[in-house]
Amino acid sequence: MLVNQERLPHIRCAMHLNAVFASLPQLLDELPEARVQAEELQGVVVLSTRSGLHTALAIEDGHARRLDALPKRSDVRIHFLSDAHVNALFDCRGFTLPVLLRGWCSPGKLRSLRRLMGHLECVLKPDAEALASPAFELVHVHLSLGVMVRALCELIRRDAEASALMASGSQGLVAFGLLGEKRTAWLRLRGGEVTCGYGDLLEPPDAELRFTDAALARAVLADCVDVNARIGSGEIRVAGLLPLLDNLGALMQRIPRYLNV
Amino acid sequence: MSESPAFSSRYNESLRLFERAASVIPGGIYGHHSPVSVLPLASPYYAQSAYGGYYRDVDGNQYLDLMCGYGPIVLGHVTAEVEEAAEHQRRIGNCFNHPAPVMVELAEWLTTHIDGADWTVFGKNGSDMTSWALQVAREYTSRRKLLKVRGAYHGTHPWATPGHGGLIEEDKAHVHDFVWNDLESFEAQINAHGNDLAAVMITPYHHPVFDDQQWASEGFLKQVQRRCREIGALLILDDIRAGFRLNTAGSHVTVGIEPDLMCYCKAIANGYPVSACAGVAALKPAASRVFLTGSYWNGAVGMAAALATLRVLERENIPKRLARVGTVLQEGMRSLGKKHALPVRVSGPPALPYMRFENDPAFHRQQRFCALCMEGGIFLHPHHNWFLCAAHTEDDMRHALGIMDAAMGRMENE
Repeated sequence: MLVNQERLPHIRCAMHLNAVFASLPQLLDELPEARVQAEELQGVVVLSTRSGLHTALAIEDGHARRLDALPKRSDVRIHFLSDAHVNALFDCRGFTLPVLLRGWCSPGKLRSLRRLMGHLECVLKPDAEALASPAFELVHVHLSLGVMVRALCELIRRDAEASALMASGSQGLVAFGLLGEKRTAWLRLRGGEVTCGYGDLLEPPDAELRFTDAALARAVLADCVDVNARIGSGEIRVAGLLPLLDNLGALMQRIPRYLNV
Repeated sequence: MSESPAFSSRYNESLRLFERAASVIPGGIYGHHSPVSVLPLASPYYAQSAYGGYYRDVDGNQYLDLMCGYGPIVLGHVTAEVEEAAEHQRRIGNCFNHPAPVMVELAEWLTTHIDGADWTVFGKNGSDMTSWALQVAREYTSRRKLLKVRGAYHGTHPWATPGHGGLIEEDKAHVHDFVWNDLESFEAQINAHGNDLAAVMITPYHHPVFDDQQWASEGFLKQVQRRCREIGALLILDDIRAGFRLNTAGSHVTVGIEPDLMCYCKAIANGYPVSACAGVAALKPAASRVFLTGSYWNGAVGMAAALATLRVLERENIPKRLARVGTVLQEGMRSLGKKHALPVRVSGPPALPYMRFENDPAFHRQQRFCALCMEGGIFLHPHHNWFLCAAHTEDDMRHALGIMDAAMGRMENE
């Protein structure tokens, strides 16, 4: 399946906001040092673009939650001139600063937000030295799986071909995670709606894909592993509604082409 | 999902071979034989030998073979009459600069025995024939579009493949789906594409994976045929899966339609690589204009095997035998479901049966059941219809039911 070139900037932007930036709550759950940083950042933070895309997070006591709707009031609001502008910032290229609509009088909050984004980048794009720590590698994999299901959601919602593929096939709840761990990344397709998240599942999944170790999960997420061979050898376990996994697998392989994480 | 490897010493040699394969073959095993599609770690990956209705894997485990090579084995593995015909041809030559006389004999047999067939061509796989048939329809009608049933499998070529890799939008731009047994959905596609419709491709009954098999509802196939005739589109029957297991004159006789083109493979040669497309006389000029060839497509050994297979199928009325033996299995599975309070859905013709559990939409129970059956010594597929062959007896089916009984008993206690 090919990448939709025409919609590429918009879909990338949606992924950056709704998959990468929106993984801050999960980062705070996973990483104590990030929680400490977030305690200095109380309130509502919004990232928005002229195209109408936006993500809002409510941060309180070192934890964060995503807000479904754009709040009327925010403590920090950063507005981007275009989808490409967001993409350039997340790709760490370009020099055009976004417009600070709210928060200009709270430099401490802005500093905290910048440090939190730094933590996020360190976890999502770690260096080899950091990955040598098994504990850090686990955090990286958890967060990457979370980003992956959120990015899948964006793709299914915004790319006509991806949406048609998922609508034409099996639907249900899918879990992605490490074998033996209760917390998983999940994605639910039901009645044309797609939702996702990370945490304990409240119901048995219709399909699941589990990695036997974190290094393999990393390699799969980077699309540099023969997945079918690893399933055959038992290093990746699959069960349940395999056509659903198959369709999502086809979309998963596209994620690295959109996201540079 | 279990943390401990479910892979027991039962499949160790399979796994060892797979590890070697995975380093030199993408996916280790690809296509429908891939462990991913069956039961990774809970099914054999490699076969060593086979005879009659049974086969042995590379670990020495023996199975009652209820997949029959996913269909080609219709008489039984290593059937003497077929092997002798193939061996005779092998001794005198297989791949020549020209077709061998056996090609003419085989075409004559098929055009004589397949109801409505006036000519036949040959290939090696089902996909060869469905793709070629589509080209013939386009050549004959000067139209582009194909209608097919959603979820129906017609091969691996880009217009048909259920896979995702390496495709571009244009590959399927002229292929449109309608829903089996839903004439409203069919009419909607006719209205949308009728003027440009080259053909409708159907199977004699619907046999999707991950679902029950479904016969056509009253009047469905006849109406599809009637509308094809009205708008000048061809009706192509993909009889690759069921062909010659239901009826030696073609499955269309069983379901009461008269297709313009009929595609066969699987059961035609008891495991030797031959496929065929038969057609009505009016299409012969168009068919002659659609280029058809391949390095081995005139291979005489496969054709000799096909001729021998087809003769046995007709002489011994194998479809009738398969129906009788398959009915023992189907009725037995229904009884087992009741006995164990695990309601089952048995579907498809007795010669190509399938069973799955009620209230098991994600197939977890089904996958467990098939894994236990494999441990017990039956090879069957959790997500794909099964196949019987003429070597299977009613005693074999009772043997299978005994293993299934034990599997369901274990599942009750889990």
